Amino acid sequence: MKKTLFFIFLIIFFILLITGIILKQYEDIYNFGRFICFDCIGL
Amino acid sequence: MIKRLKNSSRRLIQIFSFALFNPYILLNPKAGKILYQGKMKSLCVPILNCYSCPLAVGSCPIGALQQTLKLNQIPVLILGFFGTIGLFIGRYPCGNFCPFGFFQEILYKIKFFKFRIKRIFRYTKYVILLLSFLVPFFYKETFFCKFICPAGTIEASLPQIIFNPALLVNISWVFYLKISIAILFVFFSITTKRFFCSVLCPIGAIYGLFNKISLLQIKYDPKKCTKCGICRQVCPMDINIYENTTDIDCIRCFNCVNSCPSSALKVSNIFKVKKVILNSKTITDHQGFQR
Repeated sequence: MKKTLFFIFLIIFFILLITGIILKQYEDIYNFGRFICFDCIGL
Repeated sequence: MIKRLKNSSRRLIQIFSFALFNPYILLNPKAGKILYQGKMKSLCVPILNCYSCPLAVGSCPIGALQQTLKLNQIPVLILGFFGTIGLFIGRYPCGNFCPFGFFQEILYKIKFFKFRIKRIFRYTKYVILLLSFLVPFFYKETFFCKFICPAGTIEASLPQIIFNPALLVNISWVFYLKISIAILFVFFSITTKRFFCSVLCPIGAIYGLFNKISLLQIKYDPKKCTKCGICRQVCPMDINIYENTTDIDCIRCFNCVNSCPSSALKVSNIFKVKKVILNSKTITDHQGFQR
């Protein structure tokens, strides 16, 4: 059962990962990360 | 001797990962910028590490998740990232890579009044995780980063203000709230084992969900166990691993495995664990048949 769940979730998360790459969400992450996050520093 | 070496190797991994995820100013002191802005920021680190920290070269996954939700997008990349890591190694990053967890373990070594937190409070991190999804999506606020995260205060807020005092002009009540939470965090980290990881960390909450089905597992042999309690003493999360080897709070540090005097605990994987259960069932059936 656990083995089956492992493979099912592996496929699901792999699809999510590929979809995120196709949607270029890493560009959004880059845009958040390259400036000081004023929320994070509490200002 | 080998057990001691194994325990100290985790410390080395923790130091190495701190240096790996945070080398910016240390490697580049003449850069003149107080924040790394290169392409590495497109990648998330698998642990809690504020991307506004002057040392950080990667992005914080929970911060990026909330910012993506703020844009009304489904953070599929980050969910896939969390899921893939969790499926393979569960909470292993918490125990071995997270600099914030390492910092808490050092704080706990300070000799001061100590106490244990009740099990029920450990589920608070799931409330925080839920709010970290809902508040950014519906109210456009990064709930965890803005109102809670002490990592942001300690790793980013204080160094950024020291490097650039002009930022103090923008100070608001949120800053004082975060400073208060950071002070409480330090107090609880001294008095309780990995308080933040147990009670508040949404990243640990996500990885913890995968402990049951992750590839990396701990195998427990009840026949060898003497219930001496050493595993709980050495556990940085203060759990009884022999009660549940897939506990949501097990950070796979393997201190218990390395310290068990009767070798009742072993590092294993999900496929091997199943085989052991099947074998023990077979033995029981066989014995029953003989009787």
